[in-house]
Amino acid sequence: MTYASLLEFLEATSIAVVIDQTRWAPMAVQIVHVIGFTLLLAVIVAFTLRAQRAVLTSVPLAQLANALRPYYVLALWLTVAGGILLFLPRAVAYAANDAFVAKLVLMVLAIGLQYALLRRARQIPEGQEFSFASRMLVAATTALWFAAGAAGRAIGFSA
Amino acid sequence: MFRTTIPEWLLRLENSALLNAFRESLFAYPIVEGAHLLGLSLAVGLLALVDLRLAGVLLKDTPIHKVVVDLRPWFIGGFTAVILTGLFLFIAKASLFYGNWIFWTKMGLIVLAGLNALHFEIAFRRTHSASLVRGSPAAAAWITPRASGLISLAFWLVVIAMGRLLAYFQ
Repeated sequence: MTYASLLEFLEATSIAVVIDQTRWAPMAVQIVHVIGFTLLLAVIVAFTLRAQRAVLTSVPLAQLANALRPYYVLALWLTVAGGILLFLPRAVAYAANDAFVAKLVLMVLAIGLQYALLRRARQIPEGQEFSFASRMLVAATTALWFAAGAAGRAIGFSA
Repeated sequence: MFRTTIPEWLLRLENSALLNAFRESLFAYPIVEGAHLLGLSLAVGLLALVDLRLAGVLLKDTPIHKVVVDLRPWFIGGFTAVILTGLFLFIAKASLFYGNWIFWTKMGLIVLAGLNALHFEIAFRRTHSASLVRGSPAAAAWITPRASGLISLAFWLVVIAMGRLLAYFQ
């Protein structure tokens, strides 16, 4: 199966057809996707601000990371699930869209780095903080997330 | 039932040189729209974390006032960005939005969410956070912090949904 035929296969799946041919399904999926991404960025911003010691400094970094983790996972699931359901009916068009490809690359990078950072944060002993290098990595990862969001907005305006 | 005749002054503003250029620009409108959406994460997203604390499901051992006071500057900053970008987006396409029931429903819910937040802030200041630290209802509050948090979450979820629906009902 070639890449092009795979994309066409995905567009022809029953779930893709249902989403494409009903009025309410794309709206519902968009709403889930936006709610997921809003919560995702909020969790990431809260973690970033704490890592930079700008907010909630009385809460140990590990405690905050543990507290935020379920919401990060939920938000990521909502965002990715919504994204997949948006992708399926227009798989061929999206795959050819530069902004969409950029968004995917940025998201994969961000997800990988965020996983590593949250894991490290959850293991930090109470009273200790991230090193300067780690804090810079946190800031860079947050920038990746926002860049992914911006790329997502650019999809509609990119060929 | 619904006023659909756009006021003259708003129509003039929509058709001003600046707004015409903004609306017809290849980049300006999408960038401002993108900033509006990303601003939501700071505004509504961080506020949602505060609401989850009020509801007692996040950072339960951290005093409410600590979470509110620490995150407040950030979500107020986010709301400022959202309001400014939202104003631009509205005026640029005022003819489309003015008679749109989804737009006015969204605005109405934002006002209600704001009143809920204002009530919480007033009650919170009156009690000087003492009772809120223990999680008990503030004496001066009409509703508990938990209810306030849940109501806020509900309002903002619907506001986000209304915002997305605007694209389909213009």
